[in-house]
Amino acid sequence: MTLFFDDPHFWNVMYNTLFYVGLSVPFGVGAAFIIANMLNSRIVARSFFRSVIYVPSIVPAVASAMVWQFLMNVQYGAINGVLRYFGLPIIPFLSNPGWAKPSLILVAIWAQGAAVVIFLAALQDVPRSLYEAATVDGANLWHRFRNVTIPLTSPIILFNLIMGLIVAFQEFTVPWLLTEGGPMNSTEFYLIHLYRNAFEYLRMGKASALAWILFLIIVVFSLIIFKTSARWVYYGGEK
Amino acid sequence: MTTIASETTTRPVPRHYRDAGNRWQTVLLEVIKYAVLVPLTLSFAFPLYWMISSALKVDSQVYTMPPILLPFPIHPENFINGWQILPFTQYAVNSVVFYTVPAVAFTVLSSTIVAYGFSRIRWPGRDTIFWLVVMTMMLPWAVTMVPLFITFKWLGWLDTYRPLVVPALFSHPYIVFLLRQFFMTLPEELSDAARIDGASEFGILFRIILPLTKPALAVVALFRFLWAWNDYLGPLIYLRDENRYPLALGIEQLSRRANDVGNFSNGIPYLMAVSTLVALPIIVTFFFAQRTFIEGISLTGMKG
Repeated sequence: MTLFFDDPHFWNVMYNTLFYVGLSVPFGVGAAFIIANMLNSRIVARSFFRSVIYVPSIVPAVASAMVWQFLMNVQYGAINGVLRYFGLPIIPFLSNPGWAKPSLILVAIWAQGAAVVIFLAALQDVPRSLYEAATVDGANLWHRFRNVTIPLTSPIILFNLIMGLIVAFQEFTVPWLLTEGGPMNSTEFYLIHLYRNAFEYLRMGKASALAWILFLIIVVFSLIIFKTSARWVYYGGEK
Repeated sequence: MTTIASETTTRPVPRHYRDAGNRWQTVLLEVIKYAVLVPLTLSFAFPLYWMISSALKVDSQVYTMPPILLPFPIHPENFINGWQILPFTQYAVNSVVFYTVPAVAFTVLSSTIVAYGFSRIRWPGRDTIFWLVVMTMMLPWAVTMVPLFITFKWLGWLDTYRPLVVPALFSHPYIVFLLRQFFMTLPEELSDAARIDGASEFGILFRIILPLTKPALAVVALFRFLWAWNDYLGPLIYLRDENRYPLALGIEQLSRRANDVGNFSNGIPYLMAVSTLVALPIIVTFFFAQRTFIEGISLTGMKG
């Protein structure tokens, strides 16, 4: 029996997964939070913007994978078509090992609409009187954002971070359909590796062991976030 | 609370509190806001727009550079021709009849009964068992994927929809948790009054509790529908026979065919057309049940 820890391929999978989680979760949650804040300000057609941003998150992942594969194609993809039109260098989104992970992160962020809706609901619960009070005390926009918005929505930020983490560690469908772990194993994420072991190489024992290691990793990361959250999450107001 | 808030908004801020740059700052901010938000929203919408517009093209319009934003002439026949390349009607029947409908019905029925037992009937050890149920939520599904597969293989259920829908008969922890929260908000006197009138526990659940929690049931049913309709990995693991495929696997199958160059023309338009048709029920449901969706995720944090 061989331990994973001697297996360079396992470490490559770990690196890919941590790269993906480490970028897609903070950027996804951060982008969702900023978009929600923009939507929360006085704005025309708020529910229209909200719907357009939310819908990608409920479209079947298979359907969105198909259109992204087409959009990101080197020869006839629309994105490269536009780049070429403006004389810019084309981007090998899914065929270059360096680009493949960031491309998948981009697709993940595109499907972050649910987090935007959750943030928006939380932002609308922040009492207006607090902003008014802060303005009267001379707080500018940044001060209000930093000292009113962030503390009062911090439990929801924590929630979205943890949920995002759990989902991102188990991401399968979109990378599987877009790159199947390639090119050169650069998008072989944890679940793809696990799926291959279980259902392609039929190593059920190894797959189960991989699953438990993933469980431990998720628990450890969640605990780290929870422990540090005592410093930045504010649970006042309610009691 | 609301009166205080509206009072403060209507009262003008005293002049000396406004610094000179404030009005310019506000205008600038408005400009930046829309300058960011409009392109951003357009780029969120673009992939779906591209899916639909490419579904209306033929090969020569797809491979033209620069890309054609508005196809003309349009080719709506792609929706029919693409659908017929593979037995998509069969896949749609499989998706609806064998997966989505039973999954939603079983989950809602079993989870309401379980949640009722955890919230409106007292029995020894109830709360301990409830927390055990909640703890199973913490387990990532990837961890249970392999042992479940081995169990269902042992039961001889491979290549059927049973592994995907039978577990729904045993409720879903997250949905139980949510429904329990809703059930607990209803006053105990309602049940007591019904009990005095001789109603059974099932009578109380179906005649009194459920009519009062319809919005919560709608949210739960909606999200379960979404999970089943969009599920790819479950059918991928359990189904081998192509005739049993749901739509999600059918699309993947079509994309493999379309990528084999020379198999048939208009591969990409057909793929986009079928993808549009599969995404359509979700998008239509969203527009009709927008409030339920938005309230649902705001309330529960459930993602699609």
